[in-house]
This record gives sequence, C-alpha cells and structure tokens, in this order.
Amino acid sequence: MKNFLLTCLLFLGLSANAMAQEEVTIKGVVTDTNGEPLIGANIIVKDMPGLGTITDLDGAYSLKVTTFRTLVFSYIGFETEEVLVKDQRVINMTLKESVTQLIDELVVTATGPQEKVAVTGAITNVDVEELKANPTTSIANSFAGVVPGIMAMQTSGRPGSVSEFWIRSISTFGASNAALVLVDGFERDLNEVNVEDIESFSVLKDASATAIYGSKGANGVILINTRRGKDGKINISAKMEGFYNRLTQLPEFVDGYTYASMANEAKITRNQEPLFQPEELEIFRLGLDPDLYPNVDWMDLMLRDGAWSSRSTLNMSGGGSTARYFISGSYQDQQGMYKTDKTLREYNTNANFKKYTYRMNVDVDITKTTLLKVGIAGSLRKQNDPGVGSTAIWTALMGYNSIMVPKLYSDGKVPSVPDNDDNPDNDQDRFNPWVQATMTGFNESWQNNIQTNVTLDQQLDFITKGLRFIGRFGYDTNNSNWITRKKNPELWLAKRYRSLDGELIFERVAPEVKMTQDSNSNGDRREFFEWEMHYNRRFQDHRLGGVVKYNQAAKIQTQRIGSDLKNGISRRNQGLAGRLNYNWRLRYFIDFNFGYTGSENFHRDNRFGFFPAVSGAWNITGEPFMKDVEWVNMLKLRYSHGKTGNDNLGDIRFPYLYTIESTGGYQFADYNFDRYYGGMRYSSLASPNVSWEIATKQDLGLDFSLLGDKLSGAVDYFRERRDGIYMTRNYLPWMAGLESNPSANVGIVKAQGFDGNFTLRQDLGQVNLTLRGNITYSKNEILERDEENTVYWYKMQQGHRVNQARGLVALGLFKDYEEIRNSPRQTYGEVMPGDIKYKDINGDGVINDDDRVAIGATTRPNLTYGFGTSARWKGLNVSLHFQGVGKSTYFIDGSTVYMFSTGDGWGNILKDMAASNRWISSEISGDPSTEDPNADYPRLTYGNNSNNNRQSTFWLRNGSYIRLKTVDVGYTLPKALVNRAHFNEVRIFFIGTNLLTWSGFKLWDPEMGSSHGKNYPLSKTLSLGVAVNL
Amino acid sequence: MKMKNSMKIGRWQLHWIMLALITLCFASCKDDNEEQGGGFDPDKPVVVSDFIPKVGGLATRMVLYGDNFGNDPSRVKVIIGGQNAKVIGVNNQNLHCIVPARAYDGDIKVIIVDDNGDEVAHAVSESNFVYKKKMLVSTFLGDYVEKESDRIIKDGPFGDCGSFRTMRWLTFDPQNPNHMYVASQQGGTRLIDFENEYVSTFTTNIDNVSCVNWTLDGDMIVTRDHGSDTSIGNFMFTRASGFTSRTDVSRGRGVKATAIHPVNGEMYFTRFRAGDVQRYDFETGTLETIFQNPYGGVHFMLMIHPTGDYGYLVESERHYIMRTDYDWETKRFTIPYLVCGAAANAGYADGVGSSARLNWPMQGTFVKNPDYEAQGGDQYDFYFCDRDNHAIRKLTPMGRVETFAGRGNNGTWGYNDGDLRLEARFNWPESIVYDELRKCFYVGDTRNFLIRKIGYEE
Repeated sequence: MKNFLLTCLLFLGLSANAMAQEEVTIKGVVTDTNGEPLIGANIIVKDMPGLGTITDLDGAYSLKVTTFRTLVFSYIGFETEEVLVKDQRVINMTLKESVTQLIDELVVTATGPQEKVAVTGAITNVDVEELKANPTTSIANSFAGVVPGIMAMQTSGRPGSVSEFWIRSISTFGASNAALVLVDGFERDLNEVNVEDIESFSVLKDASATAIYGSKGANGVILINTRRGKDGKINISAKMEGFYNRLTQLPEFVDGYTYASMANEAKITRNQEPLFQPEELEIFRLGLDPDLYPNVDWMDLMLRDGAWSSRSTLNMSGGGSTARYFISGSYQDQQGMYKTDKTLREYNTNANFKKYTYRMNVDVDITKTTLLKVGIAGSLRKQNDPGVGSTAIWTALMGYNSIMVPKLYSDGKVPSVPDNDDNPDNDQDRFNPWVQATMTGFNESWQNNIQTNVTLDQQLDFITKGLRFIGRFGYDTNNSNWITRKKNPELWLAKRYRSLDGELIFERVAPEVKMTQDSNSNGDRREFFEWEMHYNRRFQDHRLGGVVKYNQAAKIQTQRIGSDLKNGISRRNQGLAGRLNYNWRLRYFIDFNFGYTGSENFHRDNRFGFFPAVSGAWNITGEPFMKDVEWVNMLKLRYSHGKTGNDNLGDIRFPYLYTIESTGGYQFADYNFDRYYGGMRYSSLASPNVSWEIATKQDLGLDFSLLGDKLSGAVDYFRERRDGIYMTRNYLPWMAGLESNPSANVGIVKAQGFDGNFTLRQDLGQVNLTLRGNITYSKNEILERDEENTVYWYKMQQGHRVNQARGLVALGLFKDYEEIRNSPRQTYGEVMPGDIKYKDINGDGVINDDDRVAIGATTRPNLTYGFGTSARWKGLNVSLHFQGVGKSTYFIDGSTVYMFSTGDGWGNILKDMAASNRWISSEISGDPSTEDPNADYPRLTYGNNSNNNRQSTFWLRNGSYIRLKTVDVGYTLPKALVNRAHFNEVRIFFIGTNLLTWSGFKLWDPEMGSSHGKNYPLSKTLSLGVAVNL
Repeated sequence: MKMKNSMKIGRWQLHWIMLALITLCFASCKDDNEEQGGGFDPDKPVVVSDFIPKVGGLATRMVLYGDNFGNDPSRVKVIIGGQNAKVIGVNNQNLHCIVPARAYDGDIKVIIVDDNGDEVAHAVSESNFVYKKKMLVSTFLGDYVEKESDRIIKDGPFGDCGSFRTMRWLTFDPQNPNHMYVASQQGGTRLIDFENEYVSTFTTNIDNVSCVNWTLDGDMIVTRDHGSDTSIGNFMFTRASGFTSRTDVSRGRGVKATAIHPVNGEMYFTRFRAGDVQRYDFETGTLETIFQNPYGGVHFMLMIHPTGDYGYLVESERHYIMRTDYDWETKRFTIPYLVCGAAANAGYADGVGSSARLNWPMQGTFVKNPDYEAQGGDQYDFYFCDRDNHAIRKLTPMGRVETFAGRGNNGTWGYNDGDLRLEARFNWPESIVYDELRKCFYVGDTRNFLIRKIGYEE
C-alpha cells in the first residue's frame, strides 16, 4: 500500500513537470469546403475537459492553449479534425462534410456491435429519432408502424398505460408471447427507459440472432443500449414539451328523450307494455322534472375537453480520454381526463401520472487496455386514481344512461343506482360516475426501481491478438407500492314515481362510509452476472471471430411472498452461449450461434437445453462482377435456421413437483367418540417431463442499398414452428383416475410471414426529402392443441389461428313469420321478424353451437404497416407518419352494443346506433320500409335477446384502420441568433399524434381492439416543445 | 458560470409561458348557452293552450302547454277542479304538475303570483280535464323510512304508529269489523283499531305466529309455527275472557296455516315437515290426517271458501294452487287437484290454469264479485299475495289468473302508490284481507314495512 502511494506521488511530480509549457493564443477561421464560415463549430483542447470555445458569426475563434496540445475541431454533420499546436498561432480549418455510408453502419447484436455488412441474422436497427417523434410515456407506444417486425396495439389511453407488443407473430397460445427486453445487457422493463437516453435500439428477430438467449429467446429480443459519454467539451441538451391531450374518439350517447322513446319501442315491438306514458315522454322532452326524468350527459359532465401534460429532459455528457460521463434526468407529468370537484382542495382524485427518471453512465480507462463502465439508473412512476379506480368509472360511464339519475337531486341528496350483485369487491361499480370520480377518495400507487451495471472490458492482445474479455455484473431492485383511500357519501335513489301528493320518495342505496385506508406493496430483486471472451482476427482474406459467453441471472420476489416456501425461492437461469463467425473478403459469411441454457423451474433431467442456429450471408456487392454496377451500393442475401426456446410458463413454479393437500376423511369411532382420520390427495399432479417451448425458425432476408444509398431497405421472409407449447391437459379420460389435470408440452403452432422496410432519400434543390415505409405480416396456425375431439372439424382450434374469432354466420334479419317457419329452427330463444337469421352450417336443420365456425381473423392484428415522409429545408423540417393495421376483426358486445340487453335500465345507447338503420316494425314506424331485412341492427328487445346477442358475423367488425400517427414540424433557429445567447442549437417543434383516423369502424377508437368500448380512450396529442443544446 | 445558468433558467421559463399561451389556442372554449327562455313577462298574457293527458285521476302527471308561465315553480300556481296542484317544473312554455285529489270539475287555471303570493296574472284552459275516480293503491298505515336505522316498531295512533314487520296474516274480528289483527312472525301480533284509529300490540305471549283464525263461536285460534313434534301448534283465546285466557288446542309442527270450516266449524291445518293436512274436531277432540300433500318440507297453506264448498291449497314453496273439495257427508276435504300454476315452476305469467305462473303465493282472500250473480255458481274471486312476484293476483272461479295490483310500469318490487297496474309497486306482499265494511283490501307489504290499501279514492 505504501509503495502504491509513493508511486502515485512520483507520478504527480512528473506530471507537474510536464505542465511547464508555454501558453499561447490561437486564432483562426473555420470554414466548410465552399469557404463559407461555420458558425458555432466546436474547438476543444483534447483531454482538457471544459477547455474550448465555439466560432462566432464569421466562423472566427480565439483560444488560449498551451503548446503541444491537440485541438479538436468538430461540427455536426462534418468530419472532426485534430491539429497539434506547436508553433502556429493561426489555425484556419476547413471541415469536410461527413459522408457516412450505409455499409459502415453498425448494428447492435447479442454479442456487441457489428458492421451491418457482416450481419447474417434478421436484426432491425431502429432509428432512435423515429421513436422520439411520438411523445408518450412509454416507448412501446411508438412501436406500431415504426419498427418493422413489431406489431403493437395500445388498448387503453389511461395515463401511464403501455402498449402490448410482440415480435413478428404470435406463435404460441402458451403463457407468454412477450419479447425479451434487455437494457444494457440485462433483462429489464422497457418502460423505465427514457427515450432520450437510448443510444441504440435493435430488434433481434430470427433464430441466429437469438439462439444465444437459448430458452428465453423464442419470442424475439429487443436490445437497448443507453448513451455513454464522449470525450470533449461538456454537451448539455435540454428538451421541454407541453402537451394538450384530447380523446381520439369518445362514444357519444343519445339524450334522455331518445333513450326513453327507444326503450318504449323495445317494449312495444315485443308486445309488452311501454315503459313510459306519453306524458312522461313529454316531461323528458321538455325537461320538466330533472329529479325523476333527468337528462344527463355524463360524458360531458365527467370528462374534460382535454388535459395537459408535460415532459422535460436534461442530459449532459462529456469527459476526457481517460473518463467519460453521461448524466440525464427527465420528468413527465400527465394529467387525467376527469373533471374534478374544485372544492376538494386537499387531494387530487384525477387519474394523473408522473414519472421521474435519472441515469448516470461513467466510463473509465483504467489502463490503456482496460475499460470500466459503471451505470446507475432509476425511475419513479407515480399514479393517482379516484378511489374506485378507473375501470369502475368507465364501466359506470358507459352504463349510466342519460335518464338513470340526475347528478344531484334537487334536495341535495346524492343519487346512485344500487349494486346489482353480491360481490363485495365491486360494491362501488354502479355508483353514479360523478360520485365515483370525485367522492370515493383516491388511490396512489408508485413504482420505483434502481438499476446498476458494472462492466469491465479488458483487451487481451498481449495473450493473442484480437482477444478480449468482458465481465458484467448488475443488480436491480423494483418496488411497487399502493395506498388506497376509499370512502363514499350517503347515496340515494328516488322511487320510480312520486307519492300521491307529488313528493319524491327515496330509498337509501348505500350508507356513508368514512375514509378508510389500506396499503400494500410488491417488490423483486434481480442479480445478473456475465462474462464474455471475444476473439476477432483477420488473416489476410479470412476474418475469424468467436465469442463465448457465460451468464447467470436470478430474480426473487421480496415482498408479499406469503407462506408458500416456493415463492421465496429465486427464479434462476444459467447458460453458456457462443458464436463463431467467419467471412472471406467480406463476401461470404457464415455464423454459428448456440445457447446452452438452463432454468431451475424444470426437472433435473430437463433443465438444460441446447439451442443451435446457423446462418449465412452472401454479400453480392463484394463480388468482382458487381464492381461495375454502380447503382448497387449493397446487396446482401441472408439465411438462417435455428432453434430457440421459451421457458415462460406463467407463474407456475416447479411443475415437476406434486402437491398434496388435506381432504375429507372418515370418523371411525362410534357416536360420541372421536377417531377421525383425515385424507390426503394430490391436488396437483407432478409433470416431471415439462420443459420449455421450442421454436424452430427460418429466415430468408435481403438487405439492399441502391442508387448511391438513396434507396435502402430490407425484406425478410420467416417461418417458425413452435413445439411443446405448455398447456393443461383438460381432456384426459376419467378412467385415468387423476385428481387433477397435469400439464404437458403438447401444443404446436406454425407461423409464417414477412416484414420489410425501405427508405428513399432524395434531395430536391435545398430540400432533403425522405420517404420511409415498413410492413409486417404474419399468419399462424395451430397444428396441435389439447382439445376435445368433435365430429365437426371446424369446431376445433386446430387448423386455425391462435385466438381465432368464432361464431355463427348471420344471414341478415328475418323478413316475416313465413321465413321463420321455412328456416332451420334456431335454438337460442323465440324469434320474431327482425331477429338475426343464422346459417345452418352442418345442415341438420337446427341452429345451435355446432354451427359456430371460424369467422374473421383475430382481435390482435396480423398486418401492421407504417409509412411516412419527412422533408428538411434549411432549419425547417416536416415529417408525417402514417400507421395502419389490417387482418384484425373483433366482436362488439356488451351493454352499449346490445341495446337494452341488461333489462334493468343499465347501459347506454350510442348515437351512431340510434341514428343508423335498425329494423323497426311498421306498426311503430308506420312505414313498411323500416322492416328492412338488411338493416344494421335487429329488432329491439328490452332485456337480453339470446338469439340476437351472441357472437356472429352480424357483430363482427373489421378492426383495420390507418391513422396519421404523428406529424412533426420543427424549426431550428439560425445559428447566428442562438450563438449570441451562447446556445449551440435551439429547435422549436410541434408534434401531433393520432390526429386523423380512417376506419370502417366508427363506434370507438379501433386501435383499442375493445369489444365494448368501455375503456379509457386513446389520446390525440398536440404538443409544442423546445430542444436546446449548449 | 452560475450566473449564466440562472439566466438560462429564466429564459426557459419564458419559453414555458409562451408554450402555454400558444397551446391554449388549441383548447376549445365551450360556450354554455343555457336556454333561459325568459321569465314571466307581465306585459304579455298568460296562455294555456293545451294539456296532456286529457283523462286521468289522482296523481296523474299532467303537462300543460302555453306561454308566459315564467320559470319559477314557486311563482306558478295551478288549480285543477278547485284543488291546488303541485307544480314540479316549469319552463315558460311548458309546465308539469300533479293532479290533486277530488279535482272532479277538471277546470284548469294557471295563476302567476308575486313574492308575497298575490296573484299577478292568470289563465284558464279552454277545455276541461276529465277526472275519473279510480281504484288506487295507497299507503294505509306505517311510516315509509328511507334508512333501515330509522325504522321503529311502536304503538300509536294512525299516522304515528311506526312500522310493521313480517306481516304473515291479516284478519278481521268477525264480530267487530273495526278490529283487524296482524299476525307477525316477529314482534307479536298487532291490533288495528279502526274506531279509535290506534295501533296496539296484542299480547299473546306466543312467538312465531303464522296466522290468526276464528271459531264459529268467535273465539280466536292463534297458530304458532315451530319445529317441535311435541309442542302445541294451535291455541285458543276465548272471546269471553276478552282474549286473555289461553287454552291448548292441538299439537302441530310447522303449521303454516290453519282454517276453520265456515259451516261445520272443524279446524284444518297444514304441516310443513310432515307435508299433510290435519283435521281437528272441536267436539270430539280428535286429530287426524286427511290427506298427504304432494310435497313434504314445504310451505303450503289452506284457505277455505266462505260457502265451505272447497278450499284452496296454496303451495307457496312450489308456486301453484290446488283445490280441495269438501265432502259434506264425511265432513272432510278430499284429495286436491291443480287449479293454477305449475308445480315447482316459479315465474310470472297471467293465464288460465296451468299456463299461469306464480312465485311464492301467500295469503289470499275470497271476495264476492257482483258480476257473477247473473250467471250463478261460484260468486267469489280469490285475491292472493304473489309474494316473490311482488303483486296481488286474482284467481277467478273459472281458474283464470290475472294481476290485480303491483309491478307498476313493467317493474317488479318497489314502493309506489297510484294506479294498480301502471304505477303501484309492492315489496314482498305476504298477507291480504278484504274489508267488507269499507269495501277495500289491506295488504301486508312486508319489505316496505307498511300496510297498504287497495280501494277507490275517498
């Protein structure tokens, strides 16, 4: 230790000597190749952080520096130049515009960055700028139509909600089709990463790219690397955005008079007494009794026209050649859409969301060959909700029609309809929406996490050239906590009629509940450890590379583990993976990847699996005969074949262990004595052979870049077969004598499809124009599934898509009783003219569940595409991005669609449905033409109509849509202006999202894929922001 | 450096404010143009141009059309047939009021008053409202309470006699039409004294009283519903003792109803667990089983026709009614047969015989129907409580079941007075009696904790 200190002192002394150099002032002008001065170019002194300057309006600079230092000249879009200061006093610098060729682009793969030309697997490198264009709280929300190979859908617009996404295709009906997300090498939550912190984002799609992840890679992998510092002067950038969110499409409901009239129609048309007498309809129409005959627009009452949110980020980076840093922080605040009671100042009941993130990455060169990287990141996500929660509010908003109850009774009593079930968990779900949003207390929930990585990168050239060691260690802690504070006021419901002397009669629906509180939490901890040995060497025309990688990971639940000992055992994985790659003259490439991974969740004999993949590529442009073909810059053909696995079976722990529990016994003793012996039974049978799903994937791809990189892109065709999908065996014969249903790897699904993207760049005078497009299509089919055999093959799931929609085939509406008599008998209840007529698929003269067939596609789209264009002219840039999905269908149902189906006054009528063409008896309308057998909606029924209200093509809707996802207009202020204020760059931008939607489906936002529209709708966002760089 | 930073922050704030201002432009400003319609204009005449409905009765909801009514319900008075009508809402051209009782003349007058209640202007409708006196359901006794906690059971004069609980049986003293007894499972039997307009508790020291009947001599038979084979089921309180001296009449377990033959005077009762009908002869003191009910362990009751020719076996728990004819020679009821409803098939449907559906029929009462006089034969309709259908049903001698009152406006349970079928609602009506003197029904509306009345408005 003493020696070490002495050595340090000695070095310090030496460096003090080295400082004895002459200080001089250097002046000069920085220009481009045309001789135009560059304003705001950076001149820094190498290895002297903070020492530097920028050029003024004439491109001139002046800087004090000691001799024998290196000056670094840099400017965005130009190549950086370095000059050693010796005896010059004037250094005029001409910077060349940087020309980066696509062929030089780096792609981040599972084993580190690789030149694009050398990549043999299907990997999409995503331009992070494109992800930034969509200002949402979660990166996943900006995937759809932007990232080729990813399908995504956002099912709720609630602040803080995130999109569901999957890579290429859903290839399993097992527990999980979620992709593996790795942030800085370790499995982490995508939504905790702030988009401004991302350096690279790549999607690994085929087996050769993911085989290394072994039993975790089958659903695809997303790799995110966060930004790191670069040496040079400190670079500070800040961005602030303010958003105004409006709901894209809010369901609109009919007014009280229309509702009451239609309710009467529903009654009369089925030969029942009308609900309202003519004078009562008049009272509705004229609004003469708001207590008993209210007309409340709950949507208008409950929801704001729009809500504000904001987002700010600040990051700094810099450093010298020995250490570099990147520090960032961000803050987001999203306001909820509910109108709140202004008198409640003590707390906020709105659905608000706040997110704070920070990140610090430091790289230290310990020696010339040793690099230490340390990264710490954390985030805090806070969410507020009204006491009953947002789901209950939307249920009530859709259930409360305009005539149900007023907002408040005229004597100040708070109205509500009574709870309709005995379930104590949702006693409040039928409270009047206004009460739910403002008078039921509030819930707070927050999630915080801290992520730590340490990486040591050691070059081992002294052993053999091209050898490198990387060790990585990380641990994360996640906590989520919530506090619920519930209360409710005394609630009342007025009886249907007044007393004989005209007074209201009330019934108390719920007593007052003072605020009660409850709290709970959840948490987990993860630990990761990895080491890698890399070897890369060129022997003349032969390039050889290899990687060996060991990894282990553990995840343990730290809170609420209960009494089951299994819950306290961490989930561990271990694996050895490797890669061997070879290419000849960058022309022929061959890669071999493997993963040998294990999961302790399986039986000892099935714990480890070997997942190999082989891939090859032919760089056609590297061939001598292509030398003369100048318009082709790159053309590369790829093919891969390999296996990966999916060990996510859901929450099942140790399926190879059985569970025994107590069961009924027998009292052997005589009366009044006790000799009771309890019994034991297998409550769950051991399934020792259970293992992971195995995906066998093939991918054929073509990468191209043509016409001087003007047109570039990639196309991939993929096939996948997923074997051993884990599922419960529900149809074992009774004679097997099992007490419970065991599970096994029995399902098989195959999927195939293609994805591709292109970019076209063209300069028109001073305008840089870019056209972009991407598409992903896939189709899957269940080849095998544990299901009951049936005489009707079409009733099986086998042979159909995963989650295929099924139902009856509707043939329109019955015209008259004659037609009903002459048609196959429908067994779902009495039918009248105007009810839905179904097709007798099996021809047995009876319509029943045997006539249900696969109709339409699946709720989740099978086709996603996006295209956009951007143009830049001087400081101004405009870009548009469209996104669409196809091959998506879903049923619509629920109280909003099946009008009056609840029969108790619950449920609402959409304006669109009331205004559209429905079958109306001519006795009511007085017009025979309203008895239209092709009408959009059947004859009304008050109460559930089990014939009409069931899944059939009548209620199947096409979920395809195309929408103007983002519009981005930005203006970069002239350098001359901003430099005066000591800024490097100032950009003001406007971004609009979801501004326009085209879809055949009009009732609610098609992207939600909702069958009933009772979700928090998506937002249309207008935002203005400013980004500053110092 | 520090100075610079703080200056920059200042500039950022400025950006923020600008951003906010610009973005504000996107926020739409919704105008809340509430329709005012203008108040009463003294320079213009008040006009009543029309009204609906043209025909109605007490508590009909009337809508008046016209002009210059003003917008303040407290400044408008409506007089119909000389009676004050309650104004619910008004919006200058329209007005909603409730037709008051006894508005026989039907002339409609709208009066605009000032702050002091003095008339400022008035208008009269050209045509008159046709007021029809009709049968109504009203609340006879008991306070309707909005909250369970406010409910009290107490003695007191009519109008202040608290609530009534589990009214299993209503009966009039055959020798005193001013005394009605309410048998209650909980809280003892109540006595309604029409003469003194007072409700008191009639102490029998017997719990779980299922019904109260009268012997031909006018002594009271009180039935206790209990679960012991060896305990007394029917007690007698003699009129001579002022209904204070109690004697045991017969054992009986789970006696849901007792009936006295109106001519021969023997006593019959139904037994829950045994599922049979017992006959007790006061003269000989013998107890015998006369027939077995199709179901055992179910709630069923016997009610005898005033002529003594037959009785209805009301199968409450199996949702149908059977008839048992009386054999005048053997002085015994005979094996019963179905009259209406379907065994073990609860539902709600009007209809004839087995096509009708009932849901827990309970006490019924025979009421003479003058319409039947001409055709001869059975002169009585049987009105009974269809408890779980929350209605009073009517069974005609021809076996037709109709809904007499309740389930107003397509509803089921509730509490509403008014028109028998359009508005009135009950909540678990269990007992019913017809008052021959006042020509009306009283209904024990158990879950509203009230005694309801069905009769013509006074």
